[in-house]
Amino acid sequence: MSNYVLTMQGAMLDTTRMLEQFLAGVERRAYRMAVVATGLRDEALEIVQDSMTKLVQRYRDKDPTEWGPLFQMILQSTIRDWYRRRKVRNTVMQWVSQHSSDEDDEDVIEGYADPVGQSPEQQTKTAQAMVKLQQALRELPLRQQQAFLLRQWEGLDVLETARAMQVSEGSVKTHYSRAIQSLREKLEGYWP
Amino acid sequence: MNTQSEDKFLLQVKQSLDASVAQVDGDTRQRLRDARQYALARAHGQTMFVRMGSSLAGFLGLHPSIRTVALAASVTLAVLATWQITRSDAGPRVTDEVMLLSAQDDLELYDQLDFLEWLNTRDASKG
Repeated sequence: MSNYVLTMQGAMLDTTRMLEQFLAGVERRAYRMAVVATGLRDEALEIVQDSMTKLVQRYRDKDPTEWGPLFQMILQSTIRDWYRRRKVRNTVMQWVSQHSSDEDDEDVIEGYADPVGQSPEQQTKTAQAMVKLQQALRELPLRQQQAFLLRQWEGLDVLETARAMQVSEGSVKTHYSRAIQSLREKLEGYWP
Repeated sequence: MNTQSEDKFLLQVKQSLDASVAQVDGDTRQRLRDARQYALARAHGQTMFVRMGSSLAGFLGLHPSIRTVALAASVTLAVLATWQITRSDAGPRVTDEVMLLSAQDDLELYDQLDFLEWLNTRDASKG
């Protein structure tokens, strides 16, 4: 086997280790973001897995400093896809239930109950605040949710957020500002 | 809304979100680890083809440039795909996997070219 092949194999192993380290560092935050967006644990896990797979398959050879913005872009895009699919499915289900004379009265929203399954009584004070916050975040329109989490939590600037969301910078500013206003109104009873 | 109270509110939100990450339960952490390993294994599956392609290029005495490796990997992939498909017990799943491995990457990469260009510009302006 040539030196070239050995060198290539070594580089691949290094990249794999670095990728694993990178993914281990971002996976829980990504999961939380996906839970906020979907309200469902299993769906959130699937979104994170899809995003990690896409990053690894398509961009593992990119400079590691680019993995962060790329991963955010993939994650937000995967969440939007999920959102669109759910919307179509719900619309179809609604149409079917309206046009069905059978006892198909299953509530399609029922499946979107609290994914964590923890009552506020079981939570610490911090966790209680998180439940309220998560609820308030989940009630935001998806774009506001994404703009807020990327700007405030991930610490991206307006341009980086616009790239990740694939919208204009002006749109990011509007969504972010509306999100803050809405969250303050919803949470002022819990947080000063 | 005064800036000071907004800053305080945003800080509380950030702290709460950070705390929520620390509170992810053990079962979910395990599933995230599994998801990570799955993603890396898929990549390993792809690099195996590239490695086999590279070996094939070396065996044929070709210069192992990226183009040659890619070509040889495609040949290897095509040979393996044909072999798998002609096996009597090979089902559609195998074909799907091969199609996925061979077709997915570059198309998506081209879709994101402007984003990558932006990243390069940003890095260049920082440096």
